[in-house]
Amino acid sequence: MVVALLTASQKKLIEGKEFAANSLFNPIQDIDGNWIISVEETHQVNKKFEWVKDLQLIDYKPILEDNAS
Amino acid sequence: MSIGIKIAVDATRYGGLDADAAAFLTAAGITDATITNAINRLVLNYKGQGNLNTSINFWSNTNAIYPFVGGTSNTHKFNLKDPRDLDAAYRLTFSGGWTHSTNGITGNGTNAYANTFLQPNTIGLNSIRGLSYNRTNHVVASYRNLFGCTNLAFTSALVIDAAINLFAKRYFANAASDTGSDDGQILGLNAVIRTASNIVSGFKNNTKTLTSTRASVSANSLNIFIGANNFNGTVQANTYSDSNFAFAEFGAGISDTNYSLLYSMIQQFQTDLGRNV
Repeated sequence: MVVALLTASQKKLIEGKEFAANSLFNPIQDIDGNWIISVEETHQVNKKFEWVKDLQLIDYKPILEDNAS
Repeated sequence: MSIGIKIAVDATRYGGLDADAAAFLTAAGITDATITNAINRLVLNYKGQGNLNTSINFWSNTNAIYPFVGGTSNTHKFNLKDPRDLDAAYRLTFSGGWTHSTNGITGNGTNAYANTFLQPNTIGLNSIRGLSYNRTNHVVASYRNLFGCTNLAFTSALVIDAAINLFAKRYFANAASDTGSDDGQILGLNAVIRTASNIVSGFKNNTKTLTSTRASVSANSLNIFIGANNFNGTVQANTYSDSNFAFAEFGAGISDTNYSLLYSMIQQFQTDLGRNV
């Protein structure tokens, strides 16, 4: 699976912002500390955020963590 | 000489479109006849005025119903119970990469979740339920949340946590978790229900998968997320679901018998829409 790579400043710029109707960006960090968003977000963006379509795509490496116990 | 006249009768018009069903359809901008009929039949059954349910009033003990119809984020966000476009009406806000279709909402397993703005302490400590209807199993082989909110110590939560095939589901209802008897598969209706301070039940479709005496601890004031866990105010890493959700609802606890009836109503709704599993 690939995801779109953000810089720290790009992450701050879009976090929680509406990229499509009633849909908010949710940048997360991968295991290497990179900020990323999903390709689904890049595909659905409105004109204001069209620049995210040009973000570099990288392989997604999730943080390894058990959840609720 | 004879003249043949064919008259098409819309069932909702014949029986009358319920006012709450109409309000939801108007808010969502839905005019499709199949969806209109399915929503109307569902609402009437919730109210105890339908073809499957003529006596039990689920409508009054349910806080939020998300039927996920219409195929877009604009139609999927509305709470059938209160279709105002407000957080206070428990209208969903989607975050991350959801895919919206006529089958409902599908998470990406990476960063997609929906905020209900509904909190367990609004529903009740010893009477609470959470349900989701899932059309696909999780692909990832670790625990993912169908819905959830959890305090720091995992002692107060409303969660269903499922890992396909490897582990049984974990159910939380204003307490820590209990492990069900199933194998983590989630096709169909998944439910966790508390009906007393020491009674918690889990269900998958019409099968009871958990009977627990775990005591309630507290009903937290965290927003319930769909498709991930709200861990004390932020999304918990690696709880993001990649399942297709075709329905979710939250409300007060109900008996096993009434759950069975509710399951039949929701399954009929999915069948009406041609997306039952």
